[in-house]
Amino acid sequence: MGFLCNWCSYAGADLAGVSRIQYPTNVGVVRVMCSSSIDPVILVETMIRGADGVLVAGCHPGDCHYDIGNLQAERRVKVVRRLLDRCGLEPQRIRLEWVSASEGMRYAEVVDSFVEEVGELGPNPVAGDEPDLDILERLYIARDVLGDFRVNLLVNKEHQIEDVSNVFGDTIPKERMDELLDTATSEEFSRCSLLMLARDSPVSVQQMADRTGLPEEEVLDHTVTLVDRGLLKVDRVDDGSPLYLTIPQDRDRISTLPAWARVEKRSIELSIKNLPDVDEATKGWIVRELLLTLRCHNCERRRSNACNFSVCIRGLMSGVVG
Amino acid sequence: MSDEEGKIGAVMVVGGGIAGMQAALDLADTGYLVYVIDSSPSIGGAMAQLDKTFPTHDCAMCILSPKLVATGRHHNVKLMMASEIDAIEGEPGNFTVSVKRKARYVDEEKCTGCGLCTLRCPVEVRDEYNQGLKLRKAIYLKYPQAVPPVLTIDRDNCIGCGVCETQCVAGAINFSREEELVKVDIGSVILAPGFSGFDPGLKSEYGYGVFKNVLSSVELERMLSATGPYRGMVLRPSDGRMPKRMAFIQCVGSRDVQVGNPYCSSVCCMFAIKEAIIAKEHTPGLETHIFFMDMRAFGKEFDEYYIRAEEEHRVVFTRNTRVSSVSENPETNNLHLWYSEHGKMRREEYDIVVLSVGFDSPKDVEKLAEKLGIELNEHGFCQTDMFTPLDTSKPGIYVCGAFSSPKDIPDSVAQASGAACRAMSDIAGARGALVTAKEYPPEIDVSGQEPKVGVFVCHCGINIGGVLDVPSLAEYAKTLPNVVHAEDNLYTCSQDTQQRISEVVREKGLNRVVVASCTPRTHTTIFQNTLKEAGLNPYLFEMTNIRDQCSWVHMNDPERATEKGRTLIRMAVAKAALLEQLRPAEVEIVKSALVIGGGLSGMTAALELSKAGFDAHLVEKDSELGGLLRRIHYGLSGEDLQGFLKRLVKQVEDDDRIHVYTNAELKEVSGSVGNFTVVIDSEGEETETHQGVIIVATGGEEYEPTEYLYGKDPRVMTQLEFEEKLAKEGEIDAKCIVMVHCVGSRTAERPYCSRVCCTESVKNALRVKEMDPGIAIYSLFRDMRTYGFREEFYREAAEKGVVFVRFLEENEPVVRVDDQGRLEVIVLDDILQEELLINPDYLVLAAATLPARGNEELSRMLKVPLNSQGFFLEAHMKLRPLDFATDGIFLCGLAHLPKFFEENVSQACGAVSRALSILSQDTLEGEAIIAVVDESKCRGCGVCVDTCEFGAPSLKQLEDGRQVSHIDEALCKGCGSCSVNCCNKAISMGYFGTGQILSMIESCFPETETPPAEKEVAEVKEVTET
Repeated sequence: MGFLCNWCSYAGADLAGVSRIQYPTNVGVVRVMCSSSIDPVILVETMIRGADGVLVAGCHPGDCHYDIGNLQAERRVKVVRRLLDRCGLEPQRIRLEWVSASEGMRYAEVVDSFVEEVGELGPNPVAGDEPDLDILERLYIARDVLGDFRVNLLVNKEHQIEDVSNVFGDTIPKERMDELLDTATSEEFSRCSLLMLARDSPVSVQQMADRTGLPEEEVLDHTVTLVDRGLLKVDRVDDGSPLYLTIPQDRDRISTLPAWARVEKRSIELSIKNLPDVDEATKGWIVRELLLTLRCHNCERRRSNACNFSVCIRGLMSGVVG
Repeated sequence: MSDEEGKIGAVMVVGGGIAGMQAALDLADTGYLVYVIDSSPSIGGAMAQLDKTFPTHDCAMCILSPKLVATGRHHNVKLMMASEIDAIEGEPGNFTVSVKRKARYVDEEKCTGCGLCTLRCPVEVRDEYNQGLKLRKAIYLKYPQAVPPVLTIDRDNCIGCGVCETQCVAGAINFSREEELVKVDIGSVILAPGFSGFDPGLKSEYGYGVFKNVLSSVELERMLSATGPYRGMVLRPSDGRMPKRMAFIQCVGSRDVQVGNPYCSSVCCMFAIKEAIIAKEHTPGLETHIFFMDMRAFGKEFDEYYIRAEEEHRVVFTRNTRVSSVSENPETNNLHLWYSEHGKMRREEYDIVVLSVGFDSPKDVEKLAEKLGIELNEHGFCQTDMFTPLDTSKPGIYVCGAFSSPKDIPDSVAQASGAACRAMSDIAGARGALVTAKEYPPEIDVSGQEPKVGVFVCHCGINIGGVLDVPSLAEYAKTLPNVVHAEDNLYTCSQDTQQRISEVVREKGLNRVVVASCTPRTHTTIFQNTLKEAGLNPYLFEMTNIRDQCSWVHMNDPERATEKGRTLIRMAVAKAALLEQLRPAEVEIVKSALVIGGGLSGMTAALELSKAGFDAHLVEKDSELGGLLRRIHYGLSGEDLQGFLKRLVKQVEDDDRIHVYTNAELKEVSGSVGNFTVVIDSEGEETETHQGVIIVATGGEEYEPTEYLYGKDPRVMTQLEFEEKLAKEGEIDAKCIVMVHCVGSRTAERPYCSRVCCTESVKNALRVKEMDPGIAIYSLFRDMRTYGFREEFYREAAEKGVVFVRFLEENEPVVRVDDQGRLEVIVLDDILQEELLINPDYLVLAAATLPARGNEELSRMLKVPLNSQGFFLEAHMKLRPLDFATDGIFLCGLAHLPKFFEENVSQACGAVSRALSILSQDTLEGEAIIAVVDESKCRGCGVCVDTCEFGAPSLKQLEDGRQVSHIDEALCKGCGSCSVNCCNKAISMGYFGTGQILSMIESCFPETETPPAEKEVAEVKEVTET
């Protein structure tokens, strides 16, 4: 699967066509406006659906039609590769390349080498009739991690904080941000794994440690955080060990939307029910917007499970009514 | 801003722990402006980290949080958090302090403490409050009940992503804040910076920080707490299992010359016992072992607690041990404890080892001391003098709490009140100069009016509005009976909404107000003040909690939560309609105090009262002043106490404001706080006086032993007699002296510790060694309780050759006269397990300190309780050590418990401080919510008199001869138990009356059986139609 940005790489691929440059047939292309608009969740989703490799191609640094979109993409791909590794998939299966509109030849070469590399790695173990369920489960976890606000926020703010200026007018060194992001990704992955483990029946710290390969003390530490977040509870104590159980996040899931868009339709409807001076059509529009747009109009961050909509509604309303 | 002498009526309290808060509250109540500064973002100090307190197992946060709220909300207290003193100049009574205030990046006025910002902050940091056992965010509230309830950005860890700003509906986040330097004018300074915990990593032999299951006692405390990392479960950090065997190692960083802390930290013994008991309660099947050297259970009811721990809770105590090392089994992470017992090396295996960490001096205290120009002692604690234990070396700067020496909560609280008293005495003339009482418009009388209720429903940002359908609640409220106005507000408590409520009350002529928002416990006063500003009686207000007890706890079910919100509002409105105007009783205060007891405590109290400008009537049962102090000649460092006593007595006798009654006793006490009528019989002559408050300082007396040939052989004497002999004769002719501790103390009959005798024995032993180092001294003790810095004198005595021999309770020494007429002492040395036979020239007995003989009669007269040992029982063992439950009566000194000279002085000052908070006012406003007697119904049965804890009801005779109950409005606290017990239901309660509560119940269960869902639709329809 290949994701090509509209301005450089897609044009580059077109040029290859105009120039009749031959390359393998294995890549299905999705045109996007900018390499930064590819949600990392989509990348993982692509792997889950069975792609052997994912190519993301954007403009060369400095050439981006949207200024720094390609750099954003670079950060996201970096995180996704790290997560793939954690899932037991080769990180090389996701590749980011810079292909400009004038590089038809290069595009062909990139496809050539990528197809060859992926070919060597062999088929995606989660594809086919007998998928590797362990890896598949971990990919689901990775998808959850990327849907989580913490990793997302860090990825999205990284450039601003590292290179431009944070709210205090300072910048934070790259090493520190990298470390933070690394830690956050790894911690959230561990936590999501634990939640997955404790979903069906209560498990002890020892069992969780055995099944995830994490040290027991680290598992204990994560249970503390998860209990605090209201996602995990102590079900009972068995032979001196508390057994933990995931608290089901019992919400109206919108099945057509991916995991990160699990939202509370009902709570949106309730929140806007009594908005003054808004007709039914507008209310419907608000609900649709909130459910379908990936980014909240107000805070420009991805909505997630815990997002509370009254803030967003206020943001939306300022555009709609005010 | 100052009085005619240029004194400033404001005090700065450095440190917002329990001592700092108590000092601040005393000062603020007495009419001084108080600045509390603390380097932490919240007040509360070390006590806020505790789960329970010894020996009563009170929940620490439950008793602390009212103090937090009182301090945070007091109109005379200004909190300066995340601040430190930069410089000070001026002189006592008139200082200017520069305070460096760190930026917290959150506007204290706007932040509501809802904590939504923390949910989204991407940075996780180890949480210091939970000893790193948990994570917090870079924007955080130190602990859930923190005061001020304002979040703080931890600039060291914040990456500046700005997400908190987008989350904050109140708009409280402000990144452009910078550190600022503020100048504050004050009259005195009180230092209460507390202590810092010893770093157990320094005792590397115990493996803290290396072995995962070695904890500090503070970490265990956090585990025990319901707000701790494991919500009250004790789990092994290595694997999350519950422990089966837990060991406590005492004196980690205390009584240890090697680590530079030769002193005793005073609290760790009791702390460990408490944790050992509570850990057992929290963990089924847990065994707890405490390894210790001496069990220092020297406080009130501490020894009883120690015995209970061993006998009832089966905590295992191993004495005489300093554990030599801890090693770990790397397979199981279990720990091996190595220690010697009776000379043999032994090993035990445990799941968890807890290190009872001692007190270090507060962090960065040297810098503070340098800036203030005060002296520190060699251990980095504040240098104080025996005679002035609350004064630092710099005039105008006072000290209290653990900073003057390691101490527990009640001692810190007592000292804090004492320091407040000392701080006031410099600026007595400026009392009230900087505080202004708020003026309110005259109250509109609404009696007889039809109820017109206004309902204000709060969104609390999105705390309530994010779950409950707040606008529909407001609409619903409009449909309720008597409601003439209802609206919803983003923040009902914000300044502008307050104003709006006032306006609405006036415009629409509301006479009852209901607010549906957060908890009435913290917010009632705010809204009551709003009512007062609008000219309404503050008791025409009712609050219902749709946040803490609705939206926050039913987040996942918005519809039913909204339904519950409707019910709560309906109930509040129903009650509101029945609310009546209440006015607290006012009592005029007699500006004079009665001090009972003319010993050190009584005289100190009388002098401090006089310095503050009030009369003191000092009643002494003997023919001369001085009490037990007359028999004590020198202090631990050789201070001349008799010289001091002479000067003190002269000062008292020369003071015009102090009226001394000798050979005197109380004949009769009646009345209550503000105006007691007291009949004093002095030298056979009766005087009747009126007193605003009473301070009980009846002292104690030495036990007259019946043991060890006392009274039968002249060579056997008590420590006081021995001291007298040493002082009078100046020398002693002896080759060998034996001292026996705990004579009459810690026995079945008197299970308490007399606290002072170990140190008294050490003192006298040192005195003898000074006179003649050749005299052999054997000190036979059970536990050496030389707590705090007194430990060093114990060490000195041991170094000078005093032989300390431990005996167990069951192996008491045997004393007899042998056939050659010599005294013979036989004792089994518990450490060496050898029997010693000694022939001393003198046998000196450390006799117990007994409560004063008249305590029982006095307790009946004052209607205040004694404990089982005959000492007076304070209102609360932890936080009100100097108050009685009955208002206006205070206690100090040996009347409370045996204690040292300097502790008596601190307590006497403290009792005066407590008394001044009453005496400084002209009138006293009682509770408005009190019991009222319907005399026509009352049969005078007197059940209410027996029911009341505070002595408020009494029986009086009406003109028609009937006996009826009469409630003293000044004493009634409004608990309402008398009204329940009243046989004829003649007593009713204001504000929480049976009728009001019934109306709430009725409205909770409306008659119509409409299912909630349909009903909701119907109502919404109705609203839209209208």
